[in-house]
Amino acid sequence: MSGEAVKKEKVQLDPKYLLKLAGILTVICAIVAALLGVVNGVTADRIAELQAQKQQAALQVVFPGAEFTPVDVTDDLVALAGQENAESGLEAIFAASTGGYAIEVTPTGFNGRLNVIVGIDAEGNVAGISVVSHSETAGIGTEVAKNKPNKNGVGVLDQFTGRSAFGGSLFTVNSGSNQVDAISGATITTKAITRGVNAASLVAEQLG
Amino acid sequence: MNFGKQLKEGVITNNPVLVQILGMCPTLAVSTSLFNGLGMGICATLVLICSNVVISLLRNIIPNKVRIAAFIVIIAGFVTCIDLLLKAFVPALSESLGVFIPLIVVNCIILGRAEAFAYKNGPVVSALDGLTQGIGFTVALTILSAAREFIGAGKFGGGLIDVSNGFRIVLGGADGIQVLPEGVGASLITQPAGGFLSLGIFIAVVTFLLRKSEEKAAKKEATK
Repeated sequence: MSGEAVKKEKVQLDPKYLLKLAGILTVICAIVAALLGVVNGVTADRIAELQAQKQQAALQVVFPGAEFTPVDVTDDLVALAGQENAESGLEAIFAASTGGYAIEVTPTGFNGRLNVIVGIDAEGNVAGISVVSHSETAGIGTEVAKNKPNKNGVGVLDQFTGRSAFGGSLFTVNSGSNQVDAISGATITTKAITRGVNAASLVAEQLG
Repeated sequence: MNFGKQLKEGVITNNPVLVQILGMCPTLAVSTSLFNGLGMGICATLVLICSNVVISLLRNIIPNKVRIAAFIVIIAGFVTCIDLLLKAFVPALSESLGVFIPLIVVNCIILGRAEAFAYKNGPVVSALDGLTQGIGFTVALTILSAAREFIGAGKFGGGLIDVSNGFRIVLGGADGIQVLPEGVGASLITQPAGGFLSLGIFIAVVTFLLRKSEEKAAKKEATK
């Protein structure tokens, strides 16, 4: 019985056998990698193009007709955006040809991060908000992205438009001097958007 | 084994979701709208057919000791292909399903069929097995999605059917048909907890019906 077990062990440790196992796995991996290389080659350009288109469309929502030039995202600006809440997430900054900045932020919502582009005009007022992507709860958090009216009858995203968070007067949800109102049931998502707008305002104010 | 029998097994008597209770993660997570359910079903079916065929062809080459590793590499390869192709050509579905596309890799239906079927059978039957099991997964997912969408939001065909400007079939972004007045639905059902509830009820109903038909068949057998 014990002799048999020892024999089995020896077979398993046979270097030729182990090499064969490793060899076959390596060949399979290599073939799969080659296949992926081909598929990636076919799709990479199109994916990049679609992403650029999508970003451009979102930028056009906040500053219609403007042209955009990317601005470097420095560590200082990231720290500034995270000053109020570390989960505001500064992704990208674009200077608009019409003045002001379109700032892409990724605040954390109910189900992970939202991707939001906030337009801040030259005077520091919010020019527009575009929710590029999110994974909020269908029928609740999604209503925010659809700009559903809050209790005052103003679209939850529209209520920021034309108002400023410069000079330390950050937006606060459902209370405070620079108040915005959440839509009922979607307070967390509204707060996420608000954090994003605040972070974008801080960055735009710094950039001047 | 003929195709009709395989199809019946895949869709009803040995349905991967409802009878084998495999692939719960994607089933619960994406069965929120008709578009998501159908899309996930079709993607998983494509991966399943491809991986079944390849694994079946390689079944005499892949050593038993490293078969799971080899299966995972092959499955992951196909999933990544599908992921890239969707991103490039059906971006709406890719966005809507998000991380659940790459997660098809760990869908236990695919690994389960590789291990239980493709590693032991020829490529043609394995392809058919992939197709029928995939159809079973898609059917279960589509029914569950439609039910959750209807009960939860009072809608039908979310993401797929657009009625805002005449009846159109679109890919993603559509609101669906509002069957019940807005706000009537039990929105709990569209949430994860509601997913567990509705899936449990669905499985219970199917199990009950299957058992009943089995009893009937047994009685028939007895009277003969």
